[in-house]
Amino acid sequence: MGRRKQQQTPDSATAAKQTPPPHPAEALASEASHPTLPTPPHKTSWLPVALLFLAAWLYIELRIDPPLRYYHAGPVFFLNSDFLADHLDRPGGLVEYAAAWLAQTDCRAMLGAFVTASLSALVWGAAALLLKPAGRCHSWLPFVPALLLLALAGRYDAPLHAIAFGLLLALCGAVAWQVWRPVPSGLRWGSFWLAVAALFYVAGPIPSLLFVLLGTLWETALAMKPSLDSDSSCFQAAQHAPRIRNVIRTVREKDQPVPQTERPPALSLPAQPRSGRFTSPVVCGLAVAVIAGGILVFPEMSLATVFTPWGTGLSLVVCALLHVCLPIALGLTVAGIGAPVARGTAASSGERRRRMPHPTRWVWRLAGLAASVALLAASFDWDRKPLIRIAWEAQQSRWERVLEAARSLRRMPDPSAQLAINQALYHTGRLNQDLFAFPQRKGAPLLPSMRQGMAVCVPLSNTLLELGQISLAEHYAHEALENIGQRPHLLWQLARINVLQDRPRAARVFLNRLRLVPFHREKAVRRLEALAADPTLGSEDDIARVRPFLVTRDYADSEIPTEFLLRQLLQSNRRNRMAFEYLMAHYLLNGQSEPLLQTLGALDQHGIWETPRHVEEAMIAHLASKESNQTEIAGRRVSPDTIRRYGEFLAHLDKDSARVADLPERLAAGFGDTFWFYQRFGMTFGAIRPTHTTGRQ
Amino acid sequence: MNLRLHPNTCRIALGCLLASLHVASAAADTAAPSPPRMPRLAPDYTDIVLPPNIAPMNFIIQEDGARFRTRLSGPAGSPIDLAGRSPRVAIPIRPWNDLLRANVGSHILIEIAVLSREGEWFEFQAVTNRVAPDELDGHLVYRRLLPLYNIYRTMGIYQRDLETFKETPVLENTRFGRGCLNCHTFLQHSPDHMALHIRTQDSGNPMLLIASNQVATVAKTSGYMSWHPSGRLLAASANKLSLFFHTKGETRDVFDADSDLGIYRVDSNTVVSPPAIARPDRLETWPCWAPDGRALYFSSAPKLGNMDRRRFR
Repeated sequence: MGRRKQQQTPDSATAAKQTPPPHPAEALASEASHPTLPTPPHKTSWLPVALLFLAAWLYIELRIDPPLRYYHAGPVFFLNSDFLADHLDRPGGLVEYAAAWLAQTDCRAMLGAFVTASLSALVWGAAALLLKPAGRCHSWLPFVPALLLLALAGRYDAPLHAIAFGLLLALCGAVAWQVWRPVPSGLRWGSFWLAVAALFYVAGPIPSLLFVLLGTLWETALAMKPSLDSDSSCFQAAQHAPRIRNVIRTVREKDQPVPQTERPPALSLPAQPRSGRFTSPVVCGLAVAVIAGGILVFPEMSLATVFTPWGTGLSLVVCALLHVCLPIALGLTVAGIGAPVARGTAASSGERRRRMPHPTRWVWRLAGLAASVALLAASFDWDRKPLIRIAWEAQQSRWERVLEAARSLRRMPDPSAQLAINQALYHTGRLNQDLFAFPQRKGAPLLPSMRQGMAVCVPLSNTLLELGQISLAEHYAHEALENIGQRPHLLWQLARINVLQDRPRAARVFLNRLRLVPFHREKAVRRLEALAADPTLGSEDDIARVRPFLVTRDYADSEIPTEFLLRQLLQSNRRNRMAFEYLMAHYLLNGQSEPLLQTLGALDQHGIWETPRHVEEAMIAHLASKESNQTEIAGRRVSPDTIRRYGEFLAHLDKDSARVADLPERLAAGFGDTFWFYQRFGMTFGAIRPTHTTGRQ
Repeated sequence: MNLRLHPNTCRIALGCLLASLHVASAAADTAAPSPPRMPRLAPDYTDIVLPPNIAPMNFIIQEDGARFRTRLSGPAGSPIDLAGRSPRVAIPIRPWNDLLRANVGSHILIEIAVLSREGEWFEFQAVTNRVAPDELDGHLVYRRLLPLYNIYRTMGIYQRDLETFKETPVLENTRFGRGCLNCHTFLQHSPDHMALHIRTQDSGNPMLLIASNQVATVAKTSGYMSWHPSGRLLAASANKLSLFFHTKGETRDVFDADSDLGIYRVDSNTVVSPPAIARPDRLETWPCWAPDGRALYFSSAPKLGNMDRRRFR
């Protein structure tokens, strides 16, 4: 490529414009026999590169939010020799280890975004280096894999760091192979096979296969275009560099065409017999046998285990594109297909840019930028992000943020998100006030079980722990531990559970494990010290708050009904307000007005002086069903506002009863956040208008 | 208030004061240092019997200190000296083996000294452990799994070389679709004959019979097993187990709804269940042959209804 970036005077450029482009075969032959003058690479403008890097950094930090990736699908990592040893006995283990280590930076938004942006930038740089000696190509071509990496980052469940690392290693290997090519063919093939074997062990089958593909393509290109070799050999470039510089300086000073006689002598490549032309590509291609042999040596490796981390759907497509785009780009570049239109054989890309009208240049750039943004937007997992955000914020006990994320939901949340939303509603004092202002579906239990999916285990364990059902919380925490691995929040949770179960030694086991996780060491050490001082952790708020409400009676079954669990908690401690409010919510969700109204007498005991809105709604609906004119039950009077709204609801229901098809949509606008709407239609997605909210009494 | 003391009183008081000071100083001069106590170790490897072929019994010194010094010695053999800032004592395997083998039937001493934060060495009372005259079986076979409840992903049967720390898998569930495996038993502790029961998603719940490195799959479901000393019979239970949970204390519990015993004849690949060990009204389980093979011991209990489990812990 450097060879083509030849300095031209205006005269020669004009001449070049007038000359018809030569036939590709002639051009190849001409290039092969008369290598043209190498010129120094085009001076890279760092400002656009820096701006793009900054944009990627900001995109990852603000849109993707690395802590969400960390919480949802971040790999487990422990800073000890055992964990490293576990990764040494299988191909790709080292890259997995390094990727898991880097993925820990996602714990901090800014740092994680910087690391991901840097990985993308490195892939970009390596792709540019790979394509540079292969011929002229569009400047955006090396940007494609980096863009795909950013798209993959927006999918949340793909092992981004491992894939980026593997890709980078394959690219670096291919670039190194372009530069370092020992002349004795035996050594060359041997080193290639060794490199494949090493890459197979370090990065696994896919990166090593990519390396083989790129290497074979490059060897094929060399067989077709031997002139490429003169560009790629560093030592040759270095040999001629001072002389080239002098020539260029002279040309620039004199503004004259380079005399043909002053060109460096053509590099004499050994003539290769036609029969031996394809020896190198074939031998390189046979390196696939090394990979196949490796797969046979490690029987636990299969296609399923190799491709499972790529996920399904769009993630799988992006991963596949990421791995095929580079060989395609290299092939196209070598073949000269889709290369920028050359305005004369010797025109440099810089010069072409300078010749392009300024507005046109910017239009192209903006179009490229818009296409990139469109790709990122199209591939971003808009549905999953709020769900992960709900789980993450609930884990951090940031309850207002949970509700904020719940408001951005586009579809009915899964039971695990539902649990977190209900927990957030309780903590903000709005469980029976705004329960139906958020998505609810009839039949979905307030405290689900694993029948509703394994994802419920973590939030269910959190809720049960807070309620005081410590043994069941332990059960679900262990199910989650087996299902999603030794995540930091689970280790912390199990340590808390064991303290509450009066098993401080078991708690230490989990805390000692947590101590090995980057960014969690300090927290674990602090708790270990507190545990050493007081095995009951009586002074720790998260423990002391729960201990008075622990269940005191045993009950055994394979699945325990929600109502029974909550009543058992109230029997253990009748001041368990969370259990009381959950019990009311359970009745509301099941439309059980009678038992709900029986709890009214206990509202005062829990300091709930103002009747919660949904309870009032259930009261008025109950009274209406009995055709009673009263507005009071058990000393609790329904507020005039609730009575008025109920009247409006009934009026709308009567008015629109003829149009049954879109009745829920029309009523949802004004009554979607009410018990009546939920009771009538069996589900609600909240109201479109602002809800009636009040703080904790 | 004026206080006037008699001169003799003052003299007596002064005498008493001097005398008491003298006694105190004498007591201080003659006070012997407190006798050394036993060190706190985790695990508590004090007063135990060590098989002569056991791997190094590493431990942690649970004493506060800046440096730690440990000496392992016996009446014979070369002592092992270890020192460092860490309270973790990792004994090198070869010197440990040599020391144990040199002291078979005798004892070894563990002498520990800790440098206090003030810079003084404190020596603890030596720990004495006896060395058994006979060696232990070289390997231990066990199932390794996380504290599981309902679901599981990885588990396996492993063997551990007790003379080193080397652990190798016998069978891991990743080899058969992450199914379940356990219920393994050896014929008179011999590694040549073994039975192992697995549960798979696709291939049923077969029993694996291993005899002299030959593995045979037997399509018989079995639970708890016991080899007859002859190696031709295998008593096994067939259970109908279900997991349930408690809301207080240990959460996990298992209910056996039905259980009978059967005798598997290895030669003919048949199972017989005589009424004496498979009564419909009782649960028979946990079989164990007498060492001479003349009697089969097992547990028998009345069958209970599903709801009865709530009555038990």
